[in-house]
Amino acid sequence: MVAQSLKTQNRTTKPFVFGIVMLNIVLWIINFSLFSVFSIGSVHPDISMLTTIVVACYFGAEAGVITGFFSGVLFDLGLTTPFGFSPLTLVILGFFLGVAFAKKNQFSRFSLALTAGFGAMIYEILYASISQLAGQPHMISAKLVFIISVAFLTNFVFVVLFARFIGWSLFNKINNPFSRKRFVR
Amino acid sequence: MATSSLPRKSRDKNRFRRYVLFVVFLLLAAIITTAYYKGNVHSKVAVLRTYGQDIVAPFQSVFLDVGRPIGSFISDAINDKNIAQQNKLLTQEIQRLKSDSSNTSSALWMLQALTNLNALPYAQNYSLVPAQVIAQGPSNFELSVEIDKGTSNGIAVGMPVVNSQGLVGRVIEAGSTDSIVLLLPDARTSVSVSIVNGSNVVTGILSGTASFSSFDVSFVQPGSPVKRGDEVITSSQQGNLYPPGIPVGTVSSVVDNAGSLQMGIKVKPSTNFSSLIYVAVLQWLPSP
Repeated sequence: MVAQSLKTQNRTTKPFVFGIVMLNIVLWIINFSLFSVFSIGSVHPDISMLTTIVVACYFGAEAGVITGFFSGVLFDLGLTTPFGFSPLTLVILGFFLGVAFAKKNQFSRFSLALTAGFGAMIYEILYASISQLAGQPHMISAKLVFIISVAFLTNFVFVVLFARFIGWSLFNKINNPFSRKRFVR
Repeated sequence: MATSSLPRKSRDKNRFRRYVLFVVFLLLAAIITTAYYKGNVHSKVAVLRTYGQDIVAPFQSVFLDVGRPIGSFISDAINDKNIAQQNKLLTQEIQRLKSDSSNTSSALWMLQALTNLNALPYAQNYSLVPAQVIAQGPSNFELSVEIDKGTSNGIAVGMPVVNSQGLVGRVIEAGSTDSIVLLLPDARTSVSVSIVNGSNVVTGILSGTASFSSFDVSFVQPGSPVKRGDEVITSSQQGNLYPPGIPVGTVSSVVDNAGSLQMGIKVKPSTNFSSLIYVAVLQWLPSP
């Protein structure tokens, strides 16, 4: 099993990293075009951190850190906020999620959704805290609670579909760790 | 478990490698952030961001046409607290419109909106570039929109953006065919404003609060003649980022506590930031 072997050997292969980078570019375009149209009270669904969360949970801290860095850099390229906050936050998130789930090789749909939801919450809090520390005003405000709630909800809803999309785009049928049968009941 | 089946030496080596990788990427991210703040990377990142905007802009236009009606429907359905009340009002409005002999079409509405933009009373002395909002900023920690006009249309970074209601924001990044506008409610915005109460004019600094419903005005001396309902416009102070006289909002609350160093003033924006469709960029730049 790919997920298991990658975690066991604690090694990320070059084609895998290349695939993740390409996937991030596609997701970046989707995030900045499709998801910029939809908003709930001026808060947008943010799928940029989903790649990092899914990869860290399934492939370990090493893959989580690399993915977090590249998706963060890409995401920041589309924003007007100071450059570097997203990779900083996603590297931390990728590492700690990878370490926390180092011994877990399979997820149920619900546990993956819950992990992605809480991952989003941690990401938003970390991002706001780092930005506030770096001198950005009004980052930790009443609105943050609303942002966290929307991020939790969207990640909770989208993550299984998203994991299937990663599986479909990066693996063949036999190796796919996100195929329907691989989810624990 | 998977990792426990490995020899101890190999496990330690893997763990060490994992921590080294984490520290290296963390430092890399921290260096990028520091370089952005302190170094000369700022302009290079701006160029990269401009290229990024140019790549995404065509996709945004496509999704905007398809997604805006759906997005508005979902947002309205979730955001509206008084949907039943609004439904009732809309039903009445439909009946009124039906009885109206004039046939109002969306084309007429758009024409009206654009005509209004061309006849802005406070922008008679400036050249205007009308533009359409094609996307909202995707980050939840910044309030910005993307417009469909860029440097090829004469837009430059720093130009103010207005609509028929008042000040909207200013251009902070300009691509060849599209630009990013930082909205007035963004927490990074500060504007020198005048609060007009008859012949009395009081100046202060208006700042965004990351909310579409109110701004804060600071540096107004206690006892100044400011009251609820006073008009707030951009001031004519030298060095202001906006030309004078553009409506910003009206004073919604005033707190003047004895002993405090300044008055607490809240302003209700004149612009409805949640439904921006057409805006105009004033071809005006602040004096250096």
